[in-house]
Amino acid sequence: MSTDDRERDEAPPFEGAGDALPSSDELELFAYLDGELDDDAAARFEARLGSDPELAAKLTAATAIAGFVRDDAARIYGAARVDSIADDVMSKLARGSAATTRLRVVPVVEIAAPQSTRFSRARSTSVVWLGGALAVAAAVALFVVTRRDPISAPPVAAASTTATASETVAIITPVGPTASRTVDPPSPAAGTPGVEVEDLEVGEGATVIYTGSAQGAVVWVNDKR
Amino acid sequence: MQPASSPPLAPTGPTPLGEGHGAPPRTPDDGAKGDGSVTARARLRALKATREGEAEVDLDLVRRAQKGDEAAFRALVERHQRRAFAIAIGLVRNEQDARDLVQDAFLRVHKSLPSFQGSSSFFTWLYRIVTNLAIDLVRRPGRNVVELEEEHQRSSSPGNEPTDHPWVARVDGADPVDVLRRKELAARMRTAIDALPSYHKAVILMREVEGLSYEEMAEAMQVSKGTIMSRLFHARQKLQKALADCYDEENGK
Repeated sequence: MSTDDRERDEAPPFEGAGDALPSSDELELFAYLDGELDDDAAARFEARLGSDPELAAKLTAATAIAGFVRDDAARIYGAARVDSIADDVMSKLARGSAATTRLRVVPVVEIAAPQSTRFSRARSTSVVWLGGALAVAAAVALFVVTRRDPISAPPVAAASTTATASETVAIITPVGPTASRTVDPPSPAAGTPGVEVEDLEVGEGATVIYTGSAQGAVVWVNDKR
Repeated sequence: MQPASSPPLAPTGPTPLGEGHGAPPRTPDDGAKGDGSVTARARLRALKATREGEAEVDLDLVRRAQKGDEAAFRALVERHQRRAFAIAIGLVRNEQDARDLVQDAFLRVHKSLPSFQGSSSFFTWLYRIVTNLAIDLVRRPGRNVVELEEEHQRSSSPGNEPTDHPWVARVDGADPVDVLRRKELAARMRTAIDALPSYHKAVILMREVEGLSYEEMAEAMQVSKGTIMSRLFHARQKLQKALADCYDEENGK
């Protein structure tokens, strides 16, 4: 027996303040009735029963009570349909499994829908900004075309290395000579010597970066909302 | 003198996989006649030995079910559905509620299977779940007990006398033709059983219907053996008082 067991068994055995406490005879009687006495104790108790009619009567009454409880259980149990419980449980498990499968999908849908909505809204916003930016960029491109600077490089590399998932990149490549070299990623703050870089703010969330000497303009539409 | 310690009413049996429907409920006579050649202690030992064998089979089924073997889980349900139902209906006193409750208990068992370590026996774990669910149900405010009363009335109808508390005829020595007296006594005892607090009802059902030992009941109800003895004592006292009152009234006291 572990310590915990001893502690549990040594706890005050009778709950319910105010209730009558059983006598040691009653405890022994019930333990005998319930088969909880060891062989020696049971033999001693049986010897007492022979000489103690009151104790014997108590045992008869306790045995009768046990019979009533079993009768009552048998009565309400008797007509019950029990065998189908296993079928019902397994059926519910099967349905639960299917429901669980659906549940695995549902959150994705629930989550995806708002994302999709947000994405659409963002995309819609981006399109607006992009439209505006493209208009500005077209004007810039026109300016570029008119300048016809021979030192150029496609901004593709720059765009592809600097664009993030939250950015929409538009590359405007005006008709003109093909670049023979690439340029570093465009930065509004770091102009390449000999290359005029203009950072044109076209509104919140969108930036047009013009790599002045290139044959095109790179437009970032930043969606940070 | 023969103590009434006896095998469980509700079936269980060391039933192998595939045969797990158990035996039909024990008849009330089984507990009354007893067996003069076997002491209560010996019967308890036999019962424990049987349960230990069952526990090994249960554990094997649990291990298989934990690995996803649905047939093994079904076998567990089949082995224990009658036992669980016997306790449930004794507590909630309504067949449909008991069925729903037992199903719920098995679904909870299935959900918790991964965490079952086998430190306690499967059936005491199941009993704990069933008992707690039943106690929650009967404590629910506004629970309708009309069906139970109607069921009592049906069971007390003229065609049902032969199965209605045969113990009454035995203990009062009997006047088997005194149907009204038997019915009155049966009804009084039924009322007294219904009126028992849930925890008292649970222990007396586990003891008298299922034949659980104090230790097994303590494990199932997560209390000490002393508490089990206390609850059993008080449950028996209340039932005994109801029986005594009935006799006193009959004797004009």
